[in-house]
Amino acid sequence: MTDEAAQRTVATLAGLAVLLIVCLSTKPPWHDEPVSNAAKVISVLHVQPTDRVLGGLDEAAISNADPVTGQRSLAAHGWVVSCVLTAPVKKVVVLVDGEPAGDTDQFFPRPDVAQAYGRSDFNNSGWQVDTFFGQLPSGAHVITLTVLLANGESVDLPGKKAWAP
Amino acid sequence: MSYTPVANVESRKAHWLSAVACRLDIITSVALIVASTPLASLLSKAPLPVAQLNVLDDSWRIDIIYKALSGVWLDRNVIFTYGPLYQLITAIPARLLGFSLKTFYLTGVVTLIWTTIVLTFSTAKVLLHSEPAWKRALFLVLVVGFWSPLEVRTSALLFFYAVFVACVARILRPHPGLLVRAAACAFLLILAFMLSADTGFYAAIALILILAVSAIVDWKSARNLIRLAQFGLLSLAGFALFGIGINVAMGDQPFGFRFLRDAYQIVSTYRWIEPVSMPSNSSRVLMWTLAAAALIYCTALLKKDFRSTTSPRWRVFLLSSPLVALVVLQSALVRPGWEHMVIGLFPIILFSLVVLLGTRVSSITRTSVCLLIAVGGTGLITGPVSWLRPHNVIANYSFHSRRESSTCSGIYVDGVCFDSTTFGVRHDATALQVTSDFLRQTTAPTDSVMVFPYQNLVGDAARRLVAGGVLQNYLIGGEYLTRRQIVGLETLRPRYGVYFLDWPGVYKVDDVSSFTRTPQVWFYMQRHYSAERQIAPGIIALVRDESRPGRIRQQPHMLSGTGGDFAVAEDPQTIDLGKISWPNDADFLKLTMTMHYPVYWKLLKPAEVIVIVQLADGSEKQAKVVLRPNTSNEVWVYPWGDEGLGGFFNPAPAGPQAVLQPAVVGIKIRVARFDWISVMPTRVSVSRAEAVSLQY
Repeated sequence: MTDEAAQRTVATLAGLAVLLIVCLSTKPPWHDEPVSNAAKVISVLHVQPTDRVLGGLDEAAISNADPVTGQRSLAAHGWVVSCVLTAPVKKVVVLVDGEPAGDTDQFFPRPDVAQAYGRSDFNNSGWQVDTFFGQLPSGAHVITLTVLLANGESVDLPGKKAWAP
Repeated sequence: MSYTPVANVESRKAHWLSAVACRLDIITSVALIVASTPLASLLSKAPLPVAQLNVLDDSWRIDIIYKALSGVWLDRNVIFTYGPLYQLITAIPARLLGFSLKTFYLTGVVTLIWTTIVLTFSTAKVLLHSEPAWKRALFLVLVVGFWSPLEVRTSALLFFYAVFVACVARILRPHPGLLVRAAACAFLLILAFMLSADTGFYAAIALILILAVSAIVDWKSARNLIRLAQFGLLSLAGFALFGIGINVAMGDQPFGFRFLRDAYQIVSTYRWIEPVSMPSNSSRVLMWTLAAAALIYCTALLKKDFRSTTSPRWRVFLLSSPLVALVVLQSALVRPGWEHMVIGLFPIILFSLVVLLGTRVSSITRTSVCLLIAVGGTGLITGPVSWLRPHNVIANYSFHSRRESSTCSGIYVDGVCFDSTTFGVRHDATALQVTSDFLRQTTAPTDSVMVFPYQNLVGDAARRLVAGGVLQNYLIGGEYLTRRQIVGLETLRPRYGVYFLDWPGVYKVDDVSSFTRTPQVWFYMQRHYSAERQIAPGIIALVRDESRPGRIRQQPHMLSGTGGDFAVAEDPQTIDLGKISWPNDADFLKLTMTMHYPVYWKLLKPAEVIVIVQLADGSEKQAKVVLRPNTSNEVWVYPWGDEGLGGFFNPAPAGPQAVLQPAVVGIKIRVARFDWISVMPTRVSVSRAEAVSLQY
């Protein structure tokens, strides 16, 4: 084989190799952040037989009053899961001083929760409520949760104190 | 030799094959451009489905395009990391198709891909000029299809570097054209500054390194040293001349060089306003990549490549390219999240591929081994970029299978349908929709608006110019940029504005409150605007109120016994400023403090600083702050929940402290290294601690 022919063969093989990689590679692109092996769960939390609902409120904030309407807005987020096998969570209601201020039936992935419990069915447990609600005096207020399950059961979860400026 | 038709056909076939082989690099470039073009979407009139919304980055990307179409140019009217050349390139699709969010989401990435392909092709032409076209084609596919980040700055820098190497190598030979080549390099340097501030400085450093390396290699030749010195001086003079032209074009004084001063401000503040810690995967990839590159370079240097038979261009390249790659890595070391690490490592990866494919030897064995490393290594480490995957290329040209729906089941804004089920995207898209609707309804098309802190795209979606001297507030560090931002706002004095509170679910840049990051801009806003209403939870509509500056004033109260000079001996270290007596009506904590760092922090990055405010109810607030090293800084902290800051915009004279919040009882400062590149201060000086109340 002449040198030129050998070069041509090498070039063709290299081109084919690249084409194969482009067509068949299942690896993620370089720009996508790789999943770290260090994130393996060391200890897994366990659901107790008496548990009905797990989760709660991660963060809550109350805005200042609207200068026109006097309404305030509330942002709260957290996660909830049902431990009742046949009754998933239907709705999360957020209460300010015991009065309903907002609710949601939309849930989003919380891989940290699924990982912490070693339960993939706990993944879709994130919730957030972002809403306007009525007038409220300035000062400290207690924000709690009521979780409604698909079987009609409701479970109250303890909350946090938030400051209305 | 007798003529036969068969021989003629064979000859023509061979001619065509040879022509294709000689132009394989150009054909590959065109093929990549075609593969990346979403033609079916471009021809579709339906709302564009978009699954991602990155409010912070999409805001600057969209805003610079809208500003370009409005005649507002980076470097001339507004300061930003990027420059007018980048603005010009990214605004081309909007000029051709009309501005809308749909145009941006459809063509924004494509513009970057096309530019990257052209720049990488040009780099290959220069650095692999003596290699066959198929090697350049292979290089192009490996770089653009696997390794290149989706941003133009680094690709442009590497092209500029390649031209610098070629020009410097050329002047070492007995060739005329010193002046022309120096002028070409000067012109590229100016282009680099027009592209972005960091590209400009990196390009200047690259040219200096190339000249220095060439001088060291040729130190025995007085003639070459003189030519290198002449070249350097001529390039500098050319840069000054082109710079004067830019000054005039930017409306600056001919010798003002404001574009250089602005670029310096942006580059010099980056190291202390945006440092973050290095994740473990970034650290690991950094080490492995540098080790692999070192191996490739050492092998190349030990082999024939560095003997006198090799061309000056190759010699200068082999010695200067790793230095340039290490310099460019600086940006990634300051902010080593994965997306920045990929950008920082790109030069050393590209240069390694040049070394592997540019062996310039006829040995088929060596060529094969180098190709195996380049192609095999790429295939083992990474997959192709998503736009090059066959199903996406097919989708770009699937005219019939495309879902042509004129309705949007998600959130519709300006031709785009945000149809993600992800909560964050729906939340941000809803905020974008209601806020842009509000701005469109309350302001005239010729009005400008103010947006705080960084969500500029709400103004663009409403077709309103976002005012300010600095594009987004998180870039502001130090007095110069603060002043430029306020001057920009004062020039246009927008009647309306929107204030996005630090609200749960809203991204806070590096967890620093937008008030603490840019207190002077916040106070400017608070003095000149009052709240009209809440547009959505956490989003306040502001209206300009010229009576406020005369009514509102700051009342400081010294907090005695809290100052001092504290030596830092541990990592982390918490400095207790002691118990304090907090006035009942105080709203803010203001610390005047200096972090004393050793001089080498400028090559690394400062430490993380957190002000811990202890409250009377037993709770505490940890406020991350950004401080310029070795300079006295004013640190402003709102001691309670940052969502309460909206109350300071109430039009009524009463401040937000109608009900007293728990008093501040103690202050601590926690200093810790971000990571192994971060430097601890030697001392922390707190010269003053004040409680400040706003009086109406």
